[in-house]
Amino acid sequence: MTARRATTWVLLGAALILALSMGIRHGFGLFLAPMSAEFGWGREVFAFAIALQNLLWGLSQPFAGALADRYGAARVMVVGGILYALGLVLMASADSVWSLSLSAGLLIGLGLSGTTFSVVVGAVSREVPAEKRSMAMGIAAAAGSFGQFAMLPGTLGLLSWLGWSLALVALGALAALIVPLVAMLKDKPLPVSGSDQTLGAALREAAAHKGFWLLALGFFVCGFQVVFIGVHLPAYLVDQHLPAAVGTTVLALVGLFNIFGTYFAGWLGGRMSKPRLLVGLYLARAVVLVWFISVPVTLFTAYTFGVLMGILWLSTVPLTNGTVATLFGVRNLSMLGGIVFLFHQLGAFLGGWMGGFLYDRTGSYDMVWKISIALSLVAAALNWPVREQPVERLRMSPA
Amino acid sequence: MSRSLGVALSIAVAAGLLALAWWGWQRGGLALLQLGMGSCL
Repeated sequence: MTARRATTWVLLGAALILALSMGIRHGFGLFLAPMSAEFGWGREVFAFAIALQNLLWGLSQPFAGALADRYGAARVMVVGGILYALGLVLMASADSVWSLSLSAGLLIGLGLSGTTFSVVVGAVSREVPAEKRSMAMGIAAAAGSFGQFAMLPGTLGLLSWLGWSLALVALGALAALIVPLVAMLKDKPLPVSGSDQTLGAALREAAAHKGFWLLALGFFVCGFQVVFIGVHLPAYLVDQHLPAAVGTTVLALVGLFNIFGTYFAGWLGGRMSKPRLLVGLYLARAVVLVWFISVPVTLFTAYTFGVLMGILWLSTVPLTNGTVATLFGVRNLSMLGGIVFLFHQLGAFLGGWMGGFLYDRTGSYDMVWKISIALSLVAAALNWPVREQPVERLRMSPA
Repeated sequence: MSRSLGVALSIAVAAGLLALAWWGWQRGGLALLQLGMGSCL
């Protein structure tokens, strides 16, 4: 098999794994109403389990990444796929706060850290040549976006056909497909040479690099904005006297255009400075947000907002991970990408929570929109000084 | 698992995902719009 064909299959396997893991995870919200109704729970029980899932996903991501860098992403993805499938099957029989937190929170949270962006993108990066890395990351991230868009109707179909419990078992069977798909990747840790860094040295090198922290803080803003908008936009549009279905359609537009935006960002990242593209992307978000809250909200402005935000949505993923790969190389990319992703999840947690907190205290989302705009400018300023120049260790090493 | 088996599996999974999405839309596209469809990470 030629190297080009081998790369194609690796990319295809990575794309399918991301489409499955991100797609299944994306439909969890559909289970809130039927599960809460059956057990007489308030919404906080389900919401707590999902919040726990997000937090554990973020906290365990650097460790899953470090294991992938040391022992190969394939092994981590197999364990992640098994935990994910097990979590879904146990969630199907969850009938208490604890069993739901254990299954949907702990097991699925850990499973996600083994089967999503940091680990999968790290494996792809090790397979493709440096000049094609950004586009390959864009394709993988676009596949995750496509999974999010395409799996929702499938999950809904399963829910209405089988009921929530059997639908979760069916999703568990789908998640289990990640395990054999890993055979496509054949990812192994890069061979150890005398000049290789230890894990601690890699961490110290990244921690001492200003660009690493600037990227991570910029990614925090991305998490804040996407979760604030994803969670609170439908309610905001209802507040603006639009029918409830409009919010759903706007988010569907975000999901659809996100596929194209993510791919395009990856493609551009291979031709232009990725940190400068991130600056442009965060500035563009600020402009779109200012425009959206400055004009009267109509169907046209809401749908246009969905299209524009969709293009800018996860475009940050290939650019941010690509910059980390350029700065520090691909050997420890899954771990370093995992640390950056942890900041994203912290921002996501804050964006979701602060949206509700400030709405309850001020009676509107105005303050959070303004914070989002200010954060966009901050993220643009944070990414501006980042230079896409490999660290000295890589510059000194033979090509 | 051989590479060819992996390729066959991935094609089957891709086709299955598309079929599931299409079936879901046919079965409950409107219900999906009413339930709410988030797209955040």
